[in-house]
Amino acid sequence: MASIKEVVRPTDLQDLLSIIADREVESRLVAGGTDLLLKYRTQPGPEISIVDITGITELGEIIEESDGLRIGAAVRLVDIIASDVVAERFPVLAEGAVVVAGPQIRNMATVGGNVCNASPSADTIPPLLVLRAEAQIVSASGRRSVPLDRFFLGPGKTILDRGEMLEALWIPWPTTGAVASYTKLSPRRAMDLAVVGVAVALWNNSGGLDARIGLGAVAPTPIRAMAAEEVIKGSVKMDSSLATEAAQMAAAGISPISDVRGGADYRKKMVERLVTRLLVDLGERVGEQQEA
Amino acid sequence: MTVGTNARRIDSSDKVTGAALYPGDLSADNVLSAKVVFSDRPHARMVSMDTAAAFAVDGVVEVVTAADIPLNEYGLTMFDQPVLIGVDGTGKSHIPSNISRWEADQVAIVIAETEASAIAGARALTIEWEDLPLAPDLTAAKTDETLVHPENPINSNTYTTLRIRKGDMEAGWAEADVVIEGTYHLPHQEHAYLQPEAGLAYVDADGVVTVKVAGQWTHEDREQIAHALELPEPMVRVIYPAIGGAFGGREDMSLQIVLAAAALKLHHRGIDRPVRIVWNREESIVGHHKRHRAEIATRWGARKDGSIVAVEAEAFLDAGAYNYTSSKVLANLHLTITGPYNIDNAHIDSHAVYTHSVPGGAFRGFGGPQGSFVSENQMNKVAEALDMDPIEIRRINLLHDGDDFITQRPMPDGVSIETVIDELVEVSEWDQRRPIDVVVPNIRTLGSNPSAIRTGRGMACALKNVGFTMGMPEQCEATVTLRGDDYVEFAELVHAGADVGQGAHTAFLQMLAEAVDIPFENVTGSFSDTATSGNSGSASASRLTFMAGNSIQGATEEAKKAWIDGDRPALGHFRYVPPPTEAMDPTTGKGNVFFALGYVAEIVEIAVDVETGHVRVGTVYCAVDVGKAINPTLVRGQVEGAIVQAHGYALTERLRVKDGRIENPTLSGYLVPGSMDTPDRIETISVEVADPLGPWGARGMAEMPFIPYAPAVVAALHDATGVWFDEIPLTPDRVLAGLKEAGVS
Repeated sequence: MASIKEVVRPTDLQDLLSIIADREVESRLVAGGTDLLLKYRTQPGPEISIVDITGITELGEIIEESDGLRIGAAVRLVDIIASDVVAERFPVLAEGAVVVAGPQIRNMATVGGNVCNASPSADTIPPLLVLRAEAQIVSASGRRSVPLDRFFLGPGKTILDRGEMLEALWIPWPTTGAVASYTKLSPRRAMDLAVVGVAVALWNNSGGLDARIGLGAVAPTPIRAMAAEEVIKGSVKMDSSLATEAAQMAAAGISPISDVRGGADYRKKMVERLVTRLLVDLGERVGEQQEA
Repeated sequence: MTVGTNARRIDSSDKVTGAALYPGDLSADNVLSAKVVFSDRPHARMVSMDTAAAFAVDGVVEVVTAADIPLNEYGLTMFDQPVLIGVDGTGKSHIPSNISRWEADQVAIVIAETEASAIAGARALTIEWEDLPLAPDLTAAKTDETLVHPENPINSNTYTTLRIRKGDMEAGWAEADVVIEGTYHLPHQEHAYLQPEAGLAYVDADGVVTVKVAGQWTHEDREQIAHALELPEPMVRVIYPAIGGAFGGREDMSLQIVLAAAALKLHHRGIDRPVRIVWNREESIVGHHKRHRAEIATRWGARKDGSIVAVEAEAFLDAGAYNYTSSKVLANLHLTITGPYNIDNAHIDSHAVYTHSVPGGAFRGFGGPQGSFVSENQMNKVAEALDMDPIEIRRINLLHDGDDFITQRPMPDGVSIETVIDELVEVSEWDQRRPIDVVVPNIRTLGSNPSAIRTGRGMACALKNVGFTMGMPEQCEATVTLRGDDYVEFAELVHAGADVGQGAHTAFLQMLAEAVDIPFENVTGSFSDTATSGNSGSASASRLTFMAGNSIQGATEEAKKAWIDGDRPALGHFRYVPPPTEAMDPTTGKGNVFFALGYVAEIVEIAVDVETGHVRVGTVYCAVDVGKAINPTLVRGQVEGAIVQAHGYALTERLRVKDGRIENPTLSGYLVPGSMDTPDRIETISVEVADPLGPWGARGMAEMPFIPYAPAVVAALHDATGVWFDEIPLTPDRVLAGLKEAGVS
């Protein structure tokens, strides 16, 4: 196990940023700790400082802004699940959060941690991808904002540079009439990782239908199925043949691994089936929205 | 009456409040921590090991190596494993100690002031290995190109073969109207008990090496420790604190010998401090044996009327790197391939094969699950081929009192499989063919596509021996003390039998209260300490209630005689020995191999989502002959526990072993069923056909409900989809692939 030199819990963001900017100290940010502590329990590594971000109030806040919702990096999954504004405007995100592990983990784990841990099977990421989330990144030298679909580099790897941290996730308010949902398939009914996770957002605009499709556990990072989105773009109506065509495109575009939860062929087939079903399901709902 | 009541478990308060101490909870003043160093080499020669760097680590006190083990060998049934791998450690053993044959062969025990120092010391050990060619699985090992035990004079990895030669095969095949062939693949299974291995050891003021650890047989642990360390048995004491599950996984040694060796080495250096080892989950999964992998090919012939007229089979059991109990598990597998059926003609060869893989060993069912998977799938396939009801075809073939078993000797009296099936059919209303209502809930938010759901029902049955078999010495001792003046007021029991979580000690005291004829509140016991109790034999083979009950009855009779003679308190000791059994004849399999058996039959109802391959089990009906339920609630606990464990075996648990290494030694990678994955309902049907030898008629029952579950699920899946699956676990991807191949999905 890695030896932990110290645990610090700054209450001021600038203090925190200067700690992680310090080139002398190998530091790891921690919020809920549910991934980090497990990792460092077993993996040998250098001496590290643990920097707890939960002392900084604003990182734990969900803030409604004029053009979107800002979710602090230390907002816990249980807070997402209980949030009225999430339930009303972004229920797909709560659908992702509520199927992560079990209640005890969700009481500790944070959405920022789920994103920064960058697991291919993270349940909150496909919903965030279809919601056009942006990663708001801060360091001692300033801030930058990156669309979440450019945030991930590989399993456990993100674009965050040394000295940088995820400050918040920002999600634009949804297009009127948009519907979205996340579905997860796992061998166990609870306390399990996704063998496939699928989020779909579907809406109408002046040019016809538009969709965003996010996939988990089928590639080194959570990904968008852009070729499948293209199939849908501009179509007049969602039906089972369009859904199937898009889903086949989504499945064709992935190269999953085989592991204890399922082989590559199985994952491809499940992507096809779940994307089809979600599209058909959302197609009916987006129609209802329009009629209403 | 105390026998037959739901007496509250004597350990329940302590376990609910946390007062009960498990081995991992034990500590002591001045305690040292130790770390077991695994070889991490499935097959390699140790060239050198330098402990200097480990000693240089701050806090490291001592390092135990092979040189510290005077007779460096271990084995429950044959001494084929060094206790510690080391260059010059073979000593008086004939098992070369410088070869690692398993990734979890132990090479050193690093003892330090703290666990962190012990871990750092373990990392600092400098070991040079020369990797050797692998025979990591049955396919490779059967070629004998690489031998796991070249020191073995038979010069083959296939080191044990058993044979059945019964009747006239030619005549049998000539009578057969249908012939069903199958090749079955059975997976490893991990015990996954709640409490990983741990223990505490010290040398007491009298120089007795004392080990507190979780096991299944205190006296066997003592014998193995004494053997390897060349100590007289009275100089070794084994004590079991609370045990967090065992299931066969604690029959073999994990920490017992090395803890004793560590305490002894410290003592010899004048350091009389206790030493403790606590394994984490990964160490537990890598470091102890598994249920055996097996491959079994078979061919059954049946007449149109359903009677089985010929059985031919060849079975291979992956023993892993060391025998452990493999030769005995093999025998049980061998004898259950023909199920609880009266088969006139049989030709069966069963082999145990060494591989450079995790050893196979005892696990609830002990070969029965593998053998019965074959018998029950075959019987169900024959029924399908003859368009017969699976219950009806069994009735035609079942064993009865007076019938010869496959070993060509009469079954022990009390054969009750037909009664068990009768009760199963009645309670489950099998003949009604009610619609099956099971929801497959595994796709979150969407739910299953209703048009993708198929439902089915399947059955299977089995027999399993109670107690040791085939000539293995079998006995159980009890000591009873009666207290009072004019009449017996209190009774005390001293017994070594291990309560591994099944509630054995509560059952013992219920039987004592019944035998003495005083209230349950007036009996007490002290348990599982070699210094105070006689040899009970193991908590295994579904034997403990049966054997301990007989020993308690006998000891109570002895104590009552002393009471009548005027002794106050009155003491009685008794050693129960059941009727002797015989080893199988090596060429024909003939022999009186059992003295008692249990019988079980199950029906499961399932739904399968043919789009995702997910199988959901609805209701399970389990009829098991317990002879007499000493405590019906504990019986139900055993049935439900066994079925949940079997559910994992049948459906979810997939140990990945590649090139001799376990790739998923975590509970996030090895998926035991969660509470939301278990069957919706388990209906326990306790059948009570008295065993002629059982105390109050009781039979052993703890393993039996496990055994028919997997083939019953396979049969239900076939009923639902028309597809047979000859390999488990039925994980979603395997099910989907099978359905796709058959054109169902």
